[in-house]
Amino acid sequence: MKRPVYLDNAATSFPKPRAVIKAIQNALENIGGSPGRGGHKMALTASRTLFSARMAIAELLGLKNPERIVFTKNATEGMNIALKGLLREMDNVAISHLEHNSVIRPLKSLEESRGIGALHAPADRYGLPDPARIPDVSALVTTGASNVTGAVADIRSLGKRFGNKKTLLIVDAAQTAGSIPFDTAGVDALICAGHKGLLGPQGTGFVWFAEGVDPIPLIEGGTGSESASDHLPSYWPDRFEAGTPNTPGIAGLKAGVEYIARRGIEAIREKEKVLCAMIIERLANDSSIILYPPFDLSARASLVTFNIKGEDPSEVAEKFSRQGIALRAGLHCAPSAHRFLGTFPEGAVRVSPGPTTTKTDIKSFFTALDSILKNR
Amino acid sequence: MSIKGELIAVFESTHETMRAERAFKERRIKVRAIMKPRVISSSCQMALSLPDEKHASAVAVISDEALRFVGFFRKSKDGQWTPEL
Ligand SMILES: Cc1ncc(COP(=O)(O)O)c(C=O)c1O
Repeated sequence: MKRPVYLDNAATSFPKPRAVIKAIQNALENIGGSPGRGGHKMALTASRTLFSARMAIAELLGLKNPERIVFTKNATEGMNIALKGLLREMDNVAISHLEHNSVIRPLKSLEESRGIGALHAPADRYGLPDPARIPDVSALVTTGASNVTGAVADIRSLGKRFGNKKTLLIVDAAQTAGSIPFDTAGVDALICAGHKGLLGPQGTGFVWFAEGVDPIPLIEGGTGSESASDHLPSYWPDRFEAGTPNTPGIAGLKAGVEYIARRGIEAIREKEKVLCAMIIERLANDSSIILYPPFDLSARASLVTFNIKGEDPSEVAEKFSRQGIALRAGLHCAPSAHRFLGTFPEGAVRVSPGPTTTKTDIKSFFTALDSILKNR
Repeated sequence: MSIKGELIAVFESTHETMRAERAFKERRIKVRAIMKPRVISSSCQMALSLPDEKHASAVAVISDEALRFVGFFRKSKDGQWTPEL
């Protein structure tokens, strides 16, 4: 079977670079042993793999204190560690209009268990927090870029505003890490998926905390360290990484991060912008299509969201699938963003090119679109 | 190994031991990661074994890199581990 043209990189990136596949295979074939557990050669190699993955990530994203990078199975787990570990009884939280359910649902549960109040931060026209109007809250949670509209938050300005404020700045970088250069100064907690822009396998992600930001651990268990104690170790990263980690996955994530470092985030960003420009140009000039803002390429992540007038987005995606094009329709786990866009509850169709997408892929998408529109 | 008995350096955590290993290697101090003897009470399971003549340069690296360091330990002829000051 011919492999579909993959345009769903905002969900998870595909295909992964060869180096990523090789690193995972190498880990499975050659790394027996658990990191931080046991001192035999292969356990040491496992420990070194996690260590060098943390160093590579810290270097790529400009994060201080790499030991404060906590590996998780995805961005959702990282967000849960941040929100449930940092927010206290009756805290007030401001969020953007575009948050994913990985933010909305933990906050809902915290509202019920700890009386936490969540409100929308004063927003710019795209639904993202306006750095000039920061409310007086315990924490501001914002997406780095929306997985629905692509709108990119001004993390640098928010970070500057927050530098010496008591309010915690919690950033969901699921759609930004590895794809869009951004400044992490002033950020208190940064949540990343490993399997999207960082090109690692599914089952990888991490959360990083700035110095002085010390959450309560979400889970307890064995860490290979201080085993005689009934308590977790006090130091990073062990305190937050109970249980055997996904060593093969993290080996793959490291290879993905190194691949991006070699190509450069800027270069990847520029290439993806060219692909998005092609898509926007094609869709904007078609009267049967509704294209959603922002239209400015530098204000949006590598994804384009649209609808075909009068058609159910899910059926449109199904038609694309039959033509060999993989893209995603619906609410994209972010109903609040669709409410903001005016596309709730039906959702929209999302095309998302990635670092390995080619112009030929985009042309195949156009051919399929032409045929779908013609056969209506 | 030296006649004085094996010298090892112990750090706060596995991550920190790995950081030390890398820093030592960068300064051409040959170290070997080993299982830390149980009698040395510290949280990390590992230690770095290093040559005697590198003791002074290792001290410098630990301070330059602000490594979270527990201490040096030496094994005497009768097999006892004692802190090396
Ligand atoms: C903005 C945003 N936040 C969070 C997530 C959740 O990521 P994960 O599936 O890795 O938990 C996603 C992806 O689905 C996303 O796009």
